[in-house]
Amino acid sequence: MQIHALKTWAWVHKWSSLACTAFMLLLCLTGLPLIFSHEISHLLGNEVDPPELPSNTPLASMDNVLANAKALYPSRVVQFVFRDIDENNSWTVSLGKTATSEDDTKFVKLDARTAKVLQEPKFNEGFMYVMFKLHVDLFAGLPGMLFLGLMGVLLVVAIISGVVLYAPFMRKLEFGQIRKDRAPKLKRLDTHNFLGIVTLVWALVVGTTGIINAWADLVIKYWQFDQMSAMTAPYKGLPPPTHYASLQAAVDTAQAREPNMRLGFIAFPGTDFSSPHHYGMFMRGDSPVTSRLFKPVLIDAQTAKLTDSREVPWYLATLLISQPLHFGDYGGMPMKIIWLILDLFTIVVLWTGLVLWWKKRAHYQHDVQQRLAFNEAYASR
Amino acid sequence: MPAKTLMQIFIWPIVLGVLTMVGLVVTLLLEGGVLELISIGALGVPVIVMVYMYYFRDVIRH
Repeated sequence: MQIHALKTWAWVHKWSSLACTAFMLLLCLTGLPLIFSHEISHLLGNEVDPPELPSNTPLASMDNVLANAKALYPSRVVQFVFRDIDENNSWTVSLGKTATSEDDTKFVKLDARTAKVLQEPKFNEGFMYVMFKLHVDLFAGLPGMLFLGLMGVLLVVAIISGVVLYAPFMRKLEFGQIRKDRAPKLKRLDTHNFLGIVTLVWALVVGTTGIINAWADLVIKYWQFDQMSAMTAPYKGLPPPTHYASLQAAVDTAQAREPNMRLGFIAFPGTDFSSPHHYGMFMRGDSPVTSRLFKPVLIDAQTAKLTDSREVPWYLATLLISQPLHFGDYGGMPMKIIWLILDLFTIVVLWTGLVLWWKKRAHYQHDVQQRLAFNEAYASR
Repeated sequence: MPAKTLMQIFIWPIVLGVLTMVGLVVTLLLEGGVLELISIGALGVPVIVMVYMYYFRDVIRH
């Protein structure tokens, strides 16, 4: 490689890394508990499982589930009814001050078979909530999300420039050689290079899917503008409904439209995922990929009749498919443990990179050629 | 040690990168069963290589 190009790559690697390292360390650290959020919530007693009942126990009417949740907060507006991807026996109802308010939302988890209240989970407080918010938007809403997305872009730049620099630094070293018996800085450099190159693909995938996720709110807003408004166009300008049809009837209509899919969540009239006149029924398939691709079925909230249903467009599909690749939640416990280890190694790469830069500031070799010469002087064991 | 060629430098990173990619994507497409375990295994290989190279290689050599 020409020395001028090498110097440019070294400059790009240094500054793209320095700009994002503090935030990447934060994301790696807050990401650790999020990998095991389900398990931690159980341990902390924040999630109660529905009791064991015979498998042929019939499901309760959704109208009863809804009524029992509303009975706890009669002045509140139901926003969503949802359940985890692998959960069959419970529903969680969210109730807000208005259909779109986001502060002080109440959650009620109910047994899907008996419609009994199981617990009132506190999704918006506690340790996991703080970790989640720090990881997603730094408690700063959309600007925070987009900022972290930008940091993700810098990470990708740092990774690519790091790969380019890997070659000249490894010319005289074996793959995986860590010079532990030499100066600490050589051990640090080798650790940084080795762990960096092995975690490369994983870090790129988690980084780019993180960047995609940072756009989630905007992608959903565009989908509402692009698709939802077209689907609900015939209702434009109509006064809001004065009475609502049975929720169970609306669920049945959606299920009849998509008999091979199962209900993932229901968006109530007036929320961002429906219209003032509709229940948004979001159906999912049962394969690992199609279970992520929600298909919206809009049901008239007054008549419980079908209004429209469309496949998700490519941009929303991209977002939905990128999520498991970021969360690592699709391969059971073995994958979670691999995610944990790779996350820890990424922290080591970030930390060693930072220390390499910090220690070198006093006697920094501005000339990358000289740095390479020093590196190779100690190449042999 | 003579200077290595680009291919020599990148062959192992490429092998481990391909294994990681296969593990990430194939696990997403499969549903349970032995094949899923194999694909998660592919994802585990780079992890095992890292731990072995970093902590155990020198011990075994010595």
